[in-house]
Order: sequence, then C-alpha cells, then structure tokens
Amino acid sequence: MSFQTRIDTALHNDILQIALDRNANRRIAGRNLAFENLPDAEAVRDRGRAIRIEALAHLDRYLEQFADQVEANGGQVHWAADASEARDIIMRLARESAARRPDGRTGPPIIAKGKTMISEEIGLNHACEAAGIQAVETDLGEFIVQLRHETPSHLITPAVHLRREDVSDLFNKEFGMPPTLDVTQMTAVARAELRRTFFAADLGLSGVNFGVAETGTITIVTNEGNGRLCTTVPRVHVALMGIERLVPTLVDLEVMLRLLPRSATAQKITSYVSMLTGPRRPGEPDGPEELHVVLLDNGRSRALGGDLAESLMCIRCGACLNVCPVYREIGGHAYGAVYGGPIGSVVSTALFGTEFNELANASTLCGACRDICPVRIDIPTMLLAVRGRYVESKQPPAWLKVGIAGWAWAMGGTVRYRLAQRLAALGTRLLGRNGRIGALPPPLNAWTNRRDFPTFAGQTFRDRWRKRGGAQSAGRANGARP
Amino acid sequence: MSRPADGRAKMLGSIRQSLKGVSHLPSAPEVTLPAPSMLDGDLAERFAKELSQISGQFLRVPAAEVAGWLLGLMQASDAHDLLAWQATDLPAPGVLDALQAGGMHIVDSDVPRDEPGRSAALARIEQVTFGLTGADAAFADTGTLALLAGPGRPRLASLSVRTHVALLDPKRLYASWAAWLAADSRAAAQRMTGASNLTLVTGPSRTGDIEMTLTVGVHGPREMIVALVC
Repeated sequence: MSFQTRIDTALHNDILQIALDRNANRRIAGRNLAFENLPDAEAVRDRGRAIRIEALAHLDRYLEQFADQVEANGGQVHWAADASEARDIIMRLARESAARRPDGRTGPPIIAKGKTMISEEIGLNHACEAAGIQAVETDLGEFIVQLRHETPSHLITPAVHLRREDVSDLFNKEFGMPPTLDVTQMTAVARAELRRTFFAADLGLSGVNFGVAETGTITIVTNEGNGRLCTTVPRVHVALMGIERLVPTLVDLEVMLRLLPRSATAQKITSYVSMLTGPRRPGEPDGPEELHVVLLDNGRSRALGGDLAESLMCIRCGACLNVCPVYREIGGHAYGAVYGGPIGSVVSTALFGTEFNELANASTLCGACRDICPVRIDIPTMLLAVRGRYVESKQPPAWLKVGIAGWAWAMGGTVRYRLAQRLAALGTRLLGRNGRIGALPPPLNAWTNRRDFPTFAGQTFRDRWRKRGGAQSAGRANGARP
Repeated sequence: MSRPADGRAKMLGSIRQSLKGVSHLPSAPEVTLPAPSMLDGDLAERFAKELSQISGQFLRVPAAEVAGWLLGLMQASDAHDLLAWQATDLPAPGVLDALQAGGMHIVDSDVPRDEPGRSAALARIEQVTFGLTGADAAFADTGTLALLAGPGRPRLASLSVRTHVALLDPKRLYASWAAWLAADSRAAAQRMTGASNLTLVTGPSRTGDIEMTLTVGVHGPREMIVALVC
C-alpha cells in the first residue's frame, strides 16, 4: 500500500479521527501544564539537551564503560549489529531458559514482553511466531494491539486508534468477557490473563529508556507495573537497548527523568522507575537469575556520522507526534514505519534508509515538533535534509523533476518570468470559476484532488506597480501621509 | 554468528569511524542547573499532597500504634498472609512479631534459584494480596518512595500484591530525588551497584491505555499507602 493510500484510509476512518483528536488535545494541554509547574523548566531542557549531546559525542567511551559495568555487576552483554542478530540472541536465550523448566511443564518457550518499541524495530514478535516461541505483550495497550494482530500506532499509547467499544468486543471474543463499557472491568480481565503469563514465562523482555554508563544501570519507566513484573519474576531478564540510549551519570539520569514523563504522559514522574543493576544478588529473595543486555546497532553507529545524527538524541517521549498537525490527522499507522510522526520520519530514514524518505513530505514544517521536543531536536531542518535526499534520488515521479526544471527556467530571466506570469494568469482564469479551480489535468490534479487551486490575478504585481506610478508613488505611500 | 568479542570491536569501531569526521551533532548548550531546592514548608505535608493527587494514601501513625493499625487494615480486607521486608528494615520495631501474634502469616518470600521449587514458590507468593515494606528515601516534590532491593527485602512485596503499605521513617524524607542524589553522589552510585534493583514508586499501578481513561491496579498494587511513623 502506498503512503498516499494509507493517508487516504486514515483520513476516511471516522473512529480514528475522533480518537486522534481526543488524544492530541489532552496530551498537549497536560504536557504544557506539567512544564509550567517544573522549576527552571527551560534550563532543565537545555541541560537535557547537553546530556544527550555529550553521550552521543563520546558514545564509544560511554558504551564501553556501560558494557564493562554491566558485566562487573554480573550481567551479560550481547552486541547485535542488526535486527536479525538481536532476534537470534533473544530467541536462543528463550529456548535455553525453557530447557531448564521442571520435567512436568512442556510447550513452547514463553516470553513476557514489557513495552518496547525497539522489539517492533527488530520484528521480534513475527520471528517468534515463525519459530514457535510465544511472545506475549504485557503492556495493556500493546496486549490489545497484539490480540488484534496490529502494530502500535503511537510511541506511548499503542492503542490510541481504538475506542473502548473495540476493546470490549475484543475481550468478549478472546476471553468471553461480557460486553461492557467499564474500563476498570476490562483492565481486570487483562490483569488476570497476564498474571498467568508473567509467572509462566521463561524469559522477561524489556526495552531500556536510559542506560547509565557510570553504574551499568538500565532504567525502565512504566506506569502499569508490567515492566517490573517482566524484570523481576522470570528466571531470565533480557533488556534490548539501542546503543544511543546512554546517559553518563546517575545525576544525568535524574535530569532526563524530569523531562521524559512530563513530555510523554504529563506526569511529574511515572508510577514506577525501575533501575536495574545486574541480576539478583546473593541474599536477595527474588529477581532474575540472569540479566542479559542486548546492545542493538541496526544503523545507529552509521547514522551518528551523518547529517541526521541529531535524531539519535530522541528520548521517545512522543510529544512531537501529539503536537504535529499531520500526525493528528493521519495517525501512526499511515506512516508505515515502526517510528511514525515527525521524529519517526527522520529516524526511519536515518536508521533504515531511503525507502522511508517519502515520509518527510508529510510535514508542514511548522516547527511545532522542535518547539515541544524536551531536548529541542531540530526536526524541521532534518526533514528538509530528507526531502533533499528524496528529490536527489530517483524516487519522486518524473513530472516533478520536469516541473521543477520548467520553474527554474522560467525564473532564470526577466522576459521568461513575465511570460510565465501571463501564461499562468491566462491559463488559470480559463480553467477557473469564481476565482477557484476545482480540477486540474494530470499531474497537477495531485493538488486539486483534495483542494481548490486559486486562479492567478488578471494583473501581475509588476503591472499594478507600474500603473500606480512605480517608485515615486511607493515612496509617497511609505512616507508620512498628509 | 560472530563471537561476542568481534561484535564489540566491530560496533565500537563503527562508532569511532562516525565520530572521527566532521561532527553533525549540534554544540551542547552551556547550562548549570541550580542546586536542588529545599522546598518551602513541611516536607511531609508536600509529600502527602503529591501522593494524594495520584490516588495514593498518606497518614501519620505513632510508632506504638503501627502494629494495631496494620492488623485492623488487614482484617478489614480479609487478608491473612503478607509479604514483608525483614524487621530490621522497617522503622517500627516489633511490628512483624505483633502481626504474627495477631494471627497473620508472613509468607516466605525467598524464591529458590532454580527448579524444582522456583515455580511453586512463585505461585505461592503470587496469591498474597498484602505487602509491607520500608523505604530508603521519600521525595516530597513528587510523592515518591525509593525502594532498594537487598537481603530480606523482596521486590514483589511492593509489586504483585493488591495493597502495598510502606512504613516511612521521617528522617528519610528529602525534598526531591535530586536532593537525595546531591546529599552524597558517591553513596548513590555505590547503592546502585550494590543491589540488583532500585525502584521509585509513586502511587498505585495505573494505565490510561484504553481511551486515556485512568485506571488503577492494572498489574501492580491497586492501593498504595504510605504511613509516616512518628
């Protein structure tokens, strides 16, 4: 399905439109209030930006320090160059852990998954399904989305495209829950179902919000508690982490956590901030016996040296999605990428390459994303860079190049420019009615399919300027009026 | 698949290659944050206000009355079993003995490291609805507790239960997380590497995943009660 088709589908999905409006308005108002109440908010954002830049500018050093610390704490580090290596490591660990079950229990290896966008990035669920490994999403939104065989449509609220009625129908079909509009009741059903998963799982998988180089700590920010259960109950905990997710010190971590929950969910802090440093220690009564950290590159080390490097500063709060006038209309699925919205349009190209260049066109370049970004990532400038790549590649339709070449020719000389103006004025007035053109011939119908095009004025600005007396009359108009 | 050592060298090499050329990273803003504020007014009051705003409960209980209050709380919810931190990590001496004398059963929270036994112990622990912990620190500006793992301190006591009660020593109250870190940043790092887990808990488990409707108790505790022992 082409990007255009996906956008059309989203725009004609009434339920999605209602859900998107509700989400965006509440999230932005909440986020703004949360920052108004944060002491020294602008300085904290600057400091957060500085921390992210410091981590990336010396990523080799911090990554080594982090990996050494994880090992010193008793954890194991795996270096995954790409998605397929990361998948193989995780699935191997799941099989190994399942092999250590007591004799009585058979059946496929079970992975209890905390909310992690990066596991979407490596396509883990799909691979597990193919390999006969049961990977169960435990975040309520992700759980719903997985049961519907869909993918998340928002970084923070994966099921934002669904109404409570949809969830009720789903739980009715899957678990025999009597239809209800009571969210508490639906939540209770999910809790009971997922408790079984947590306690039967051979492996708990989590993402990582921040890794702390100083101590080798991985930090996971959650509200539901599923992240804690995934990292506490199963015998093996595997944390899948993009290598850019580092902060140098614990003090830096605290600064970042003033920014992340406020930007993501308008909270001062989430219900739970889990800071995990190694597996269960001698004497501790519970916790995982093994802790594995899978460090995923998947294009990041290369992107660090390119003109989209700044996109690696992203802390995945989703604020730029909520504020984006385009995302608010088309939602996450239309982008056709794991990471959607403004930052996703840059990150997808930076990490996964040219096939995502087109996404950068879905922007008005209004700059709202840059203004709201907690670490002030200059998303619009990078969107322009991606558009540049798009035009330079052979991806745009041929007529675009012809059109731009024609425009460049017309702009190249005074006579040509005047001629073009007259032709445009004449042509559009022939086609238009009451100053509007409802339909243009192809390829220009790409514009008029969705909105009218105004006709050009009968007189050009140059004509009117001359008729009014040119420079003398302009001088009079600009000066003090009598 | 390549050996781990190769993977490490390769990835670090690729990063260094990218960092060697002209940097596309912006320059970092020079900014120093002001020292953590001490907050105006009473820390306990601020803590209580913040916690109540996110559906947590706060109360002050004199040390001598903690056991009686807890017994009443458990009886009211028809609970007989509890998961608890060891007595030396609770700021109310004798409280566990008193609970046991009152007929409550403190469930063995030690999970065997391997099978057989591990699954059975977890299944037993999962049934317990009441959890009792202390707290290593509390942050007034967000209504947050810091719980450090360690011997005699089950992580599940604040997680798999329906009701989590934390007994808070007033000496552990700080204005903010930043203030706790600033109090001794070296201790903070040692604390972190010495235990498998430091969890910050702020109110009950919650979700807004269905139509952004706030619902508590989704996977973790539905009730979160902080008792300031005075």
